[in-house]
Amino acid sequence: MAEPDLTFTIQAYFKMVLHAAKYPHSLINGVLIADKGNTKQRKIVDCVPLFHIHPQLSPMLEVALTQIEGYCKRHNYTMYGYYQANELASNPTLNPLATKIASKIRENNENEGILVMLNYSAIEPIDFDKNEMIDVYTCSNGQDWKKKNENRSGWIEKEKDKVKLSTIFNSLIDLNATKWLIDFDNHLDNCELNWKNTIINDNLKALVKHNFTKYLDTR
Amino acid sequence: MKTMNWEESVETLKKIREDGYRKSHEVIAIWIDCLSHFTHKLGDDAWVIYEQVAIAALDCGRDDIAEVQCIRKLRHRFSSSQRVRRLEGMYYESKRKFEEAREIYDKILKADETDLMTRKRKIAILKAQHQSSEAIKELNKHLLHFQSDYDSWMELCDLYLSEQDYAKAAFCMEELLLSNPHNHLYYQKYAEIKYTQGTADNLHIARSYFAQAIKINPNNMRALYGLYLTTNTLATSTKPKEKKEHTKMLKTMSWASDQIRKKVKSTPLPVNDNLIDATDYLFESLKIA
Amino acid sequence: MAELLLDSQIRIWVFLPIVVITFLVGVIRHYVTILMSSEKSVDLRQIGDSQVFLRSRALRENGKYLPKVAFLMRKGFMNNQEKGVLTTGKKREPTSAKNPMTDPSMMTDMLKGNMTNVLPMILIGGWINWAFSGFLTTKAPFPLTLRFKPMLQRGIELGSLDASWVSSASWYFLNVFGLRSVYTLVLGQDNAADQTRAMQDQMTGQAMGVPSDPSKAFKAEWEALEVTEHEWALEDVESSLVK
Repeated sequence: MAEPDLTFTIQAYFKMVLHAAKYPHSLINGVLIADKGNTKQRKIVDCVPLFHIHPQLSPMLEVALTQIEGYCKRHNYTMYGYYQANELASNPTLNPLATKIASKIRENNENEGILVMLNYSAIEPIDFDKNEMIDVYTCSNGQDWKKKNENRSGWIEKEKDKVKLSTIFNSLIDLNATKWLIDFDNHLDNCELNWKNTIINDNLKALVKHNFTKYLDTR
Repeated sequence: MKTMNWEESVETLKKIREDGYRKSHEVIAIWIDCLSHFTHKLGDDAWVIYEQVAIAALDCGRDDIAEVQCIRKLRHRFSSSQRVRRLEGMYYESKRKFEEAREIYDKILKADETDLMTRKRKIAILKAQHQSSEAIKELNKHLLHFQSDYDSWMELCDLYLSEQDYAKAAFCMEELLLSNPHNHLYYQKYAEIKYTQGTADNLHIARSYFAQAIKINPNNMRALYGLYLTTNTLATSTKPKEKKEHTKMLKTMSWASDQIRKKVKSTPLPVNDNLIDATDYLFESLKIA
Repeated sequence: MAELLLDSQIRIWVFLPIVVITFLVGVIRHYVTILMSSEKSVDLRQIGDSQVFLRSRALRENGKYLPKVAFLMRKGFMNNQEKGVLTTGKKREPTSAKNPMTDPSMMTDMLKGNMTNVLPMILIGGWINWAFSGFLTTKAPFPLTLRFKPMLQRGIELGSLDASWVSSASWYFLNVFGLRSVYTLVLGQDNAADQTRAMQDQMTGQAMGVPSDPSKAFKAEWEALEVTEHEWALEDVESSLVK
């Protein structure tokens, strides 16, 4: 049974998944953003995909974290967590890079934060409704991160059970949505690309609102 | 994706092959949509294309394309070729049958111990089995024989980075700089590693190497941000008596931030207003009193 | 200068035949090379040596782009008194040398290479020069300077002739180089009819090739590296950038 005090919106969740799908042979990571308001029921409303090119180097990480901090302050959000998908799907365990960055983010957020590792099998077909493919870790003492969940479903806020996650994912693949996913590395390569990912956000909203019949075809 | 005729497809595949991109989905899409129906027109180029498509298919998990459509044809035509043997080894690797793959590679190396690609496949197996320290050991041994194999130096750099051994990663980048001292990306990556290492000496080196990257390519955003961060960190830690140095750093900081602002401001509004705000926030929060 | 007109028979019997002959000879050479090519066996040690030379040369030429410490560390690795890679190479016994005069496999390789590339070119060039000498074959459609005359007018000693006119021997050589892209179209990439590639291979071969006495090569490289000093190329980069 998933913890009721932490949920992910569809927007936050699928941007993480698209980021991993866009770069299947790299380690990818990003920041999770939560609503500042309700401290009892934390909602991860958005995520900012960060890197797929040598994420172990600090200069661009510092730039990204500071910029996202500014973005959060403006919109009354808070940087609540960190997500990572390892290079090898067969090895979804924590590594020092993940704990280092997640601890840093947690420190800057009054010692509250989560670490999410994407965990999916490279061989079996994915069924999002049974397996949401994420392991959520929390930390109580600033050093040791412990896994919070036993199973991997129930994290995603499904708009009152109207939507099926696999349907959303299939629509995104049809749209070739990985092409539109922008991470911080893409932004550094080309300033015009925006890590806010407005195109994907709008398409996700349209997909859910019109029950997958309408979307903004920005191919 | 717009439909291409078969000649355009061949050209696209050739470009991907020569530039060494890993665009496996695109290769497979081109194969399925177009080239698989025109193999009779490819002439002798067909074999290189079969190899390329096979590798892309293994990358995308398309066994049907890899084994049935490509490797089988190559095996039939070149039954005694070590290159085809190696492709079969890669097929086993994709199925995670590493022992079978290793057997094939060992046989190839027995016949020709200088086969670079096969030697590297054996190290790739170690990587796939998540044995990073073994992979690093073997790669170092490999580089003793092949001291100018720059692909291997690059791979070793990334392996050291994943182990967070920045000093050794920097050593590898230095080899790459020797091989091509006009590649701005090498200077920038080297400087980033130096910055991550953190000591004052390393920061001074990072400073010069970021600057050189910008000199070669004034549009390298990472180098511009890097130069800004490096001079900022140094300026906040220089002692008051080194005033000349301090002023120089402030001048560089201001130059770098101007360059960055110019580039970000040239992006279209209002969709990208968050980018301008974010950059302003960065410079504000790192301002030196 | 009066306009020169060529007999239209030249077009049928000289211009076109030379193109056709060059092309066909190239195609034949491609298939003959494939039939005759033998496995070039290089051993691990030779490759290791040539890679060391490449690395040492890169260090000498581009070491100035590295920080001083990095350069000195590598110079030490190569040239150290006792354990340096080049130092130990210097002391190597020259007995395992592969003298081209005595080693049979290298001899046959050289012979084959010469036969397929150089011999046809000489034979056909000579035959064309003999058969089609004494007249002009064609004219380049653009004006050229006098410097091109000896190149384009082999066999025609006319001082006052416009440099755009081309003799038959020169037309043959122009074809040899010009038909490269046609070979790629017909024979696919990596074809052996492409002589310029063969020449390129010869040049890289010299860089990669093993000299008959490796210890001499090591000694030369050791000395060259020993005298190389480090002058950091990035000394003033920041000031030149931020003016």
